[in-house]
Amino acid sequence: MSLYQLALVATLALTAAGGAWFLILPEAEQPPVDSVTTTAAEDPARGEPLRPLEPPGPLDPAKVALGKRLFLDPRLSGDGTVSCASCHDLQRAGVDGLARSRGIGGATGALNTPTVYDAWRNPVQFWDGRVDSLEAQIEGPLTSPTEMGSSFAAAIATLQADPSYARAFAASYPQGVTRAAFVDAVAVFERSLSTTGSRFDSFLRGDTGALTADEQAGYRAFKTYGCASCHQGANVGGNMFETLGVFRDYFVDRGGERPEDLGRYNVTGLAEDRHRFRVPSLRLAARTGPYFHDGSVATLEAAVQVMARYQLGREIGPREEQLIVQFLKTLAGPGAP
Amino acid sequence: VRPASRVAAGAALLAVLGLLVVQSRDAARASFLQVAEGTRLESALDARLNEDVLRSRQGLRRDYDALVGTAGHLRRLAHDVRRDAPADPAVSSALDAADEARSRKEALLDRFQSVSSVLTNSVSYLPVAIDAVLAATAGEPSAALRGPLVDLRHDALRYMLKPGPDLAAVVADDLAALERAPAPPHLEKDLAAVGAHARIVLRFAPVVDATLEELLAVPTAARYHALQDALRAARERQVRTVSLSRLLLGALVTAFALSVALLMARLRRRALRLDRERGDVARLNEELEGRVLLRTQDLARANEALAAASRSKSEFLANMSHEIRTPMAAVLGYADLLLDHGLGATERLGYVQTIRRNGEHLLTLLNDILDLSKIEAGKATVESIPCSPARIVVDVASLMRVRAVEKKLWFEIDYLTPVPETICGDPTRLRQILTNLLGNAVKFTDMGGVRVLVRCDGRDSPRPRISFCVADTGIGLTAEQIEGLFQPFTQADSSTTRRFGGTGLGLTICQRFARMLGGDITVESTPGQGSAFTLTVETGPLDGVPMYADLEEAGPSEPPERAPTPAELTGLRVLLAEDGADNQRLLSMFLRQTGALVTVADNGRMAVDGALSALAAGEPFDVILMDMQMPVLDGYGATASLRARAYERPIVALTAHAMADDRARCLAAGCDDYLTKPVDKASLYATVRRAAAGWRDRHAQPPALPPPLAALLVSELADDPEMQALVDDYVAALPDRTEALGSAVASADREAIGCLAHQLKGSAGSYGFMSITDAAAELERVAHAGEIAEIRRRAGELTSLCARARGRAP
Repeated sequence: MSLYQLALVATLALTAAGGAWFLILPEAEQPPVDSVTTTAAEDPARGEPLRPLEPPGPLDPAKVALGKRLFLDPRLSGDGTVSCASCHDLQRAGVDGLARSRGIGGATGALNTPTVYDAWRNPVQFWDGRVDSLEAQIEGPLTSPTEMGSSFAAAIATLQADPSYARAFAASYPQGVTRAAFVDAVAVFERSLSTTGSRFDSFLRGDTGALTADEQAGYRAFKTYGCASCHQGANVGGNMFETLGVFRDYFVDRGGERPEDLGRYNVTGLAEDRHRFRVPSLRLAARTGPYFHDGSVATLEAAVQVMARYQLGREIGPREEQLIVQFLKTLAGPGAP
Repeated sequence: VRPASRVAAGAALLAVLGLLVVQSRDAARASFLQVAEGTRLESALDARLNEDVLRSRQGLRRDYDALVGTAGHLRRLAHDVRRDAPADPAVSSALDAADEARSRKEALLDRFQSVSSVLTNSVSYLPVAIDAVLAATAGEPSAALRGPLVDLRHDALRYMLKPGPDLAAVVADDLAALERAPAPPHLEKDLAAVGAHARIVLRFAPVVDATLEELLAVPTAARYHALQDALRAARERQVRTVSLSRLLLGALVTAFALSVALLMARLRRRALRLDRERGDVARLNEELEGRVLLRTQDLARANEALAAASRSKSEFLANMSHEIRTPMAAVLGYADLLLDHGLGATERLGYVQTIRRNGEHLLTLLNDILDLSKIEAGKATVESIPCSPARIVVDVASLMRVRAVEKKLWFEIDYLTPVPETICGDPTRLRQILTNLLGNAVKFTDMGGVRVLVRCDGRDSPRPRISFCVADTGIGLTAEQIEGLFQPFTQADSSTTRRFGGTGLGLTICQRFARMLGGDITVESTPGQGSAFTLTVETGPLDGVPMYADLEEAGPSEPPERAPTPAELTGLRVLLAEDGADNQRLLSMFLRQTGALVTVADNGRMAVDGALSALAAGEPFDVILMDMQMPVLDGYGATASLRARAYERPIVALTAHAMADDRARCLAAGCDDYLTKPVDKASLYATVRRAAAGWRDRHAQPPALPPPLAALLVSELADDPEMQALVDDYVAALPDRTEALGSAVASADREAIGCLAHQLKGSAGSYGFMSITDAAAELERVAHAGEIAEIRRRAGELTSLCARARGRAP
């Protein structure tokens, strides 16, 4: 008798509990809006078009090491002769010093090699900005017949055949040697390439003694002559596109137009993008000649003059030219040998 | 339901349950929150992008890092949101729309950066360049050059602040004026630069603003809001699904739990009910057992009563049969006697009177039976008419007085109280009852007399009664006899009835009628001293009825009787055991007429004594005619007694019982034959003769003279000389065998009879006497189960055959 009643009460209690649990309905939650603060709090370079470089975030040293090894490994190329570093010589400010780069089998590329240092800070890659990340960028030189002339499949196979690579990959990537791991390792390494700590950055942060009077005068001239209209930001350029030849036709003056001269037009097909190129960073400009996408200008002074003539629509006197060059030399930090 | 569909239903139920459980987990919540958060961030970043673009345009921010960073952030965010967004068509299209707007904005931003940079450069340089030319021409007379320059500087600045077609025309005019003005050669380059920058301003200012306007007009905010709405709607749908699933699951669980609870409650109720019912059943069983016990007892009692009633009824029927046949036999017998022409007038008169008396008795008997059956059937009625009690008493008394006088009894009638002249009643029934009572009194009284006492009680009461007390000095009644006196079909002692006659129904009928007349019959008696039967009946109202205190008397008389004779059974000694005087007379007369010597015994005891003493005296009766129903010792008892004393001579049963088993019963008692009353004279003679002859045949001495030749039985082996001696020896031994057979038959030793018959059957054939073998076989066949008479007959035949057997032809 009492057993029946107990069982009945227990069943009803369980029913109530179960029903209550099931009746707790989910809510259409409205999380508080994360107020996006405009970071105008403490800006040491307030009002300046140029800004100091921030160091790269924390990176996995093992991945950096693996990426560097890959970066330096010529076996990834079609004939085993060309590595990333063949053109992006880490000991030469990330460039090869040639007007046009050399690929496998002595092939000559169409464009001048941009530096790999601080490239990761640029929102787009290549002269025509056709990709927006390092990871996406890697495929270009790897597969281009005039550069490494290989393929991901071949590169991965090569890596998989090497036990030391297999171990290194396995240490950092659970999936082992894969395209994603390969790309990620290279990109992580490239993110470690930075030229922070330049004298100019110290100057921007308030250390007026970091630059000489001439250098400071050069910076003023850089701004006054309108260079800083495009070469601005932390990377002193690299964050926008601009048409080459605003005041004069650069290509007519040079003596003819080649397909690669169409620039961003080759990506978008828009008429207004003809001859538009990514504005290059000037952080390592002092050491990355020859200049421009075609590598047609050998010296920095000449490059300054070309820019003044075609982009700024004025003449720059020798004095100012020198000042600007001096200033440009203060932009590189110690990171890039 | 087939198992397959049951399985399918079960699987479907499980699938539904699983679906509900999966749905109710709300797994998409986290990703929804993430996506919602992402879109909110997109909205915020988009707003910041607009802000940054405006800031850039206003020259408040001179680098594009923030702008580009925000755009990149937005791009990555869009990618993440698209990756994490729930698969919902509305959300997808909202995502597409937002992406499209974002891409358009990005493209416009890209363009804005380019044109804005160019414009910024020219805008900042143009005044500087103009000032430089003005400074270089200071103090020179070329006012024509300075004027347009100043105008250009002024108008270009205005235009830069607010670009428009009107100002553009003004600036263009200024430019044209400047170009028309004569320029000194050393200033040509500078003036060209001023013109170029002014044209850049003219060209790019509207483009920058148009781009900016277009950029700001891109409905990214609306798209993001739409996306958020779509997400919210999707989430709401999701929440609805989840809620519904949880509700359904909850309902299912609740329903299940309720079912379990209900099931348990029902089980409990059923258990309780079973307990209760078990108790009920137990109680019911006990009750039933009790009832069955009671009923069984009732049934046993009823069965006993029924058996008793059945016995009584059978006995009653037997009595009735006897009672009817007895007077009927007298009537028919005397009627036969009347047919004899050699009778005198006196004899005839006696016969006729006997016939009449027996007829009357018969009538009484039949009336009694009819009355009783009427009463039993509830169809008897009583009248209520004025009649005189005195008259009735006198009428009845006048009849009875004669008998009383015949028996030398005194007979008195007294009024104890005055008696009304008339009462209301049924005179016929009253007369019947009184006749019965008085008849009984006379019948059962041998010495003393009968007195009738009449009294009337409660004359003034509403129900006055008159009572008639008939008191006698007769044999009286025991308490047990009184108890059964008024019961129908009950006769305590048939011998009593036999001795005193009557149907045994009279008192029963009388009491029934008395009760119908509003009264009763009561009895007081002392055995051996007499009885007093009191009839009490209602008189009806007696107002004004004259009362008498005196009586009148009346009475007839009766003639006497005698007996005649023909002749046939001459010299045969016959003992007639018969209690009925009429039958005694009739049968003795029949027998004497044939020359038989008849001795009469009144009862079985006398018959036994007579038969044995006659046997002992060497004058045994040839035949005993034994009435089976007699007082003192009935025929069965007498026959059994005689046979028990080795009385072997024929006994013929006389019985009125027409019942099926009467004959068998008589023969079983030891009778040789059987006669049914009323006795037919011819069959009487035949039976008596046959019985006597049968005995004589069986017990005749071996004949002194050789039987006639034809009667001799010669062995079939008579001609075989080798067998001659053997056959002679066998024949010589035959008398010993027949003698043994005779004594076995006399003692009714069936086993011995069978054994002897068997030996004869087996041997006789071997010695050439096939007929003896046949007869012996016949005897053997009936020896064990056949009737004694049959055995005797067969034994007789066999004996005579053996007597005729001869070894050789004479």
